[in-house]
Amino acid sequence: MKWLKGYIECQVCGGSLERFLNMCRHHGIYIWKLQRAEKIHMCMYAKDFVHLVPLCARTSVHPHLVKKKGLPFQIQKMWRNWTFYSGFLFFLTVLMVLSSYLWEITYSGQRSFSRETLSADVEGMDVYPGMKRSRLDCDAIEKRLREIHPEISWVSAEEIGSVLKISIKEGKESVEHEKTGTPCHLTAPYDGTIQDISVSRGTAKVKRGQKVKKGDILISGLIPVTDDSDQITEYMTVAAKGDISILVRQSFSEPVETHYKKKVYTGNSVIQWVFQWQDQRISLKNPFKRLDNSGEYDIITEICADRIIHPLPVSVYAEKKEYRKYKMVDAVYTADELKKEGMRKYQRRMEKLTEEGMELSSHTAVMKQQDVKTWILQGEISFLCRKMSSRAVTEDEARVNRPEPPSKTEE
Amino acid sequence: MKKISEKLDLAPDILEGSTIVSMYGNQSALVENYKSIIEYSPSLVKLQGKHVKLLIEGVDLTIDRFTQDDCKILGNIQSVQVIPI
Repeated sequence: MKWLKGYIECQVCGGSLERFLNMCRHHGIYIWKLQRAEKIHMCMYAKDFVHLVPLCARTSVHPHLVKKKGLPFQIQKMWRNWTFYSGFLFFLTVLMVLSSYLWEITYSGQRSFSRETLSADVEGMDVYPGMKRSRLDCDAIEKRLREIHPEISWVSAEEIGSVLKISIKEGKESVEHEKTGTPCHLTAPYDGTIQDISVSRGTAKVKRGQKVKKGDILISGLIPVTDDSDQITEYMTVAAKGDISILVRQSFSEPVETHYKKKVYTGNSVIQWVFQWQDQRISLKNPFKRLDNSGEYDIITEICADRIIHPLPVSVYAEKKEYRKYKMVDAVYTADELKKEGMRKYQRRMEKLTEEGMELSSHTAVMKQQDVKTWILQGEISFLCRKMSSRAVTEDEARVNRPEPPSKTEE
Repeated sequence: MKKISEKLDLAPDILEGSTIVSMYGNQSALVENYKSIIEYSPSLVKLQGKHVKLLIEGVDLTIDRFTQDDCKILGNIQSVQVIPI
């Protein structure tokens, strides 16, 4: 309250100080934080300071203003630097206005879809960079994307500041058939043993514990329709659907060469900068460093900027290309390096299976020397496969083979 | 006034204007119903009441509030002395 009204710190000296204090009290001048040293240091409201003049004259004390505090004085101070404060206020206003718009849409997790495809779908929902954030409905975007692309198994639209982040996970290949409604069978992608099978649509062709080969039909897309005498009159075709898990045991054998070609950088490198503004592209390079046509180079490209400046239709692109010269030299793995190389190949094999959605259950591997130059990485991997292949139902399969009626012979 | 106050069973400060001193430990003292300040230094605050003089002695004494109703004294208070007039 004191700060809002504005107050001052002042010192008074000389004359009769106690009488001065009593007169202040008598005239209703509120004073606080009195400290006595050689002078009396005290605080009072700014408006009361002018009323001290007759009191000081009567008591022969001399007031001395030390500091002004409070909102009225702050406003006065700000008024003197109005250009700075109005600029700051303008900055805050612009920031507030601009942050109420959507400025960027990012996509992640897509494999088969291109960024352009998703971007076109999202723009079709009237969601675009430069729109008001208040009109953004993330749930509706998620729902609509799932409707447009049923093969997307999971989608998330998240609003982070002025950026809309869309993450997707793509589902099974067989969904394509489901989407189009094409009749199809579910087939085994590997040789293995059926661990579990449950049919949602179609006819089961295998049982739990049965061994299957790659390409065998597990759930058929043909549903037989029988008449009263249990004769199949026709086949109803459907897109087979169900949950199946196959236990697959795979043995592998992979050679690991002890002699290999090693890439050695010569230390010569050339850096090239590429800048692009709209369709205009310019490359900058040290003219004294030339690329040797007979040499081999690794090109390392670093994209420094790739942006569309919204709402202007302007795109900016900048990249740094580094050409590193190298030569291939013969090299031999040491025992440790050989072990690491074998382990790397083994890990890569398992990572590949995991990426394909397989559940690893057990795996073993050993390295054996075949000859001086070659070692063999041997092992066995067991995994559960839940992702089945699909094959379209052919017309021949859907046709019912009826016994031909006996033909009448002309006598 | 004293007799009326006693008869009506009122607090003495209402009719008599007795000075009230409230101490909060030895760090703070609140004086009400006083008439004026007689002397003020970092070691002594002397106040004038209606019937008494009040001497507050201590170290680093400051007056936190000085209004028509009360006076709040802060510091290391060592003694409070009441001298009847």
